Amino acid sequence: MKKNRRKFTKILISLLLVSCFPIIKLKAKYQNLVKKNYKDKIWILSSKD
Amino acid sequence: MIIKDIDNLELPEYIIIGGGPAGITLAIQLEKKNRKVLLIEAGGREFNEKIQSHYKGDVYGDKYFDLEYTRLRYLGGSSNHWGGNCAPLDRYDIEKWPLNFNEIDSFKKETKNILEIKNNFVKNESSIFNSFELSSIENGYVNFGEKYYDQLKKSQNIFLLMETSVLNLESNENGKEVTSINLKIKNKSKKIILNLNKVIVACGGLENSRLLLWSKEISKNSFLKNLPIGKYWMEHPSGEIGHCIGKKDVVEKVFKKKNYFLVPSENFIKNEKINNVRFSVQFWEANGKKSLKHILKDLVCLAPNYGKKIIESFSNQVVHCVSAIKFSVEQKPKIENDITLSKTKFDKYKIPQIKLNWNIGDDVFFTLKKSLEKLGQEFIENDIGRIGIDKYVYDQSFKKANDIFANHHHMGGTIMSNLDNVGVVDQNLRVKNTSNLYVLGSSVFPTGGHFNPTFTIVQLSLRLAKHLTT
Repeated sequence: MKKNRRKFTKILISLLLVSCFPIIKLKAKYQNLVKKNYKDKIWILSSKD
Repeated sequence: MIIKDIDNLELPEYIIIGGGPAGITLAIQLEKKNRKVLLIEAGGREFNEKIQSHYKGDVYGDKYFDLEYTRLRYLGGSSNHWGGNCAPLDRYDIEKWPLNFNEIDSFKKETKNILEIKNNFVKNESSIFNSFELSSIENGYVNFGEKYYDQLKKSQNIFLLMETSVLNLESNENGKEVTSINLKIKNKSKKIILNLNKVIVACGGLENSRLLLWSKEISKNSFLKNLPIGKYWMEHPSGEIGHCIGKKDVVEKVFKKKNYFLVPSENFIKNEKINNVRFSVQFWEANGKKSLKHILKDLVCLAPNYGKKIIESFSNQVVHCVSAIKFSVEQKPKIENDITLSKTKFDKYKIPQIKLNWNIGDDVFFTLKKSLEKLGQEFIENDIGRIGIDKYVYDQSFKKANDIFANHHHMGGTIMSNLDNVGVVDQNLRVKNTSNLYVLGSSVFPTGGHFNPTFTIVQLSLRLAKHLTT
């Protein structure tokens, strides 16, 4: 029973991760980052940079 | 004609104090309508150190230019040292004035002729960016003293009295009418002009306030009392604000010519509640590749993928470029930025020197931050390049720097407004509560936009001439 529960939890977590991943990826793609506190410039960058 | 004294002069209908772009333009326009004008200029035809020293003063707040040399006291005024850059203010700027945009805009063609501008202004032309448009500045370099001296000399209706300082204005008992002008003509004793008709003060964006403040202070009646003279003084904070790395051909296309600027769209200004602003780029063509590598050294640690992409593009030719971003920004009129009179320092004629209190203010940095971050995002979205903003925009560390973030553009101090306790002049540039006193020049601007003020000064001069003669 315990093993099954663990398996079930693992599957649930991995399912959650897989299902959320595209959203996180999509968000990261369009979210520009303002990188602060580097030398004398603050660069407006993309998350892919 | 040139006159050396006023003793035998039959007093003209109009007395203009100040022979700069505003005063000369107005005098010439009044002459066209066969009106007689006395034009009083404090300086002569050439720069004179002693006369110039009347402009000494002190600055409190952010770093600013030496007040003695940020304007010129001789015929032609500050047009003797300006760069000639000019453009009309945006419709959006004028909408905040107590007059209709067309009342100013209708004088655009005539102003272009006076300033000898041949090209048409580019105004809010669409660009590849959603939130930014293109506008241009044209060069209208005209030295008013040189251009119009012969005309003033030959004129039978304009009486030009040079090397004459106006000390103060005096009014009648109820303070509503200017009745006399005290002045000092070179090598002569102090004199008084009486029986005045209309007086126009056109001494520049600092001296207009000084003359009115001093006249108010020594007046024995209610002349100019309760008017916010000297308040709401403005500049155009400007300077270098960062760099952009971008695809050379695209960046060059965006800033088609050197006189093109990116300006935020009206929607962006209104939605973000920012001031008007313009950005330009200065290409580093001479050693572009070297400068690019230097900037990339910084960027590559932050953005390794993007850095690698650009470095790879070096193999054959420079396809990217690095450019310095420059700005000029509107400053909101604030009552605490003001001109007052010194209690301890005086010029040769015992008139107090100016004390200028000027701070750039948070509204300027908010504007720069918001608009540059948006421009940076649009650089990414359009795959043009990346923008690096100088840190001082975020932490205001510029206050410790030696640079001056200003432009020799003196505006405000006697602003135009229909609101009580805000404006010194009404929409026709008449000083409130007076019947025959007018102020002309950038000191009447209620807002300053981001464009150099001379074009608008000439437009206002033409408009006042029309008002005075109809």
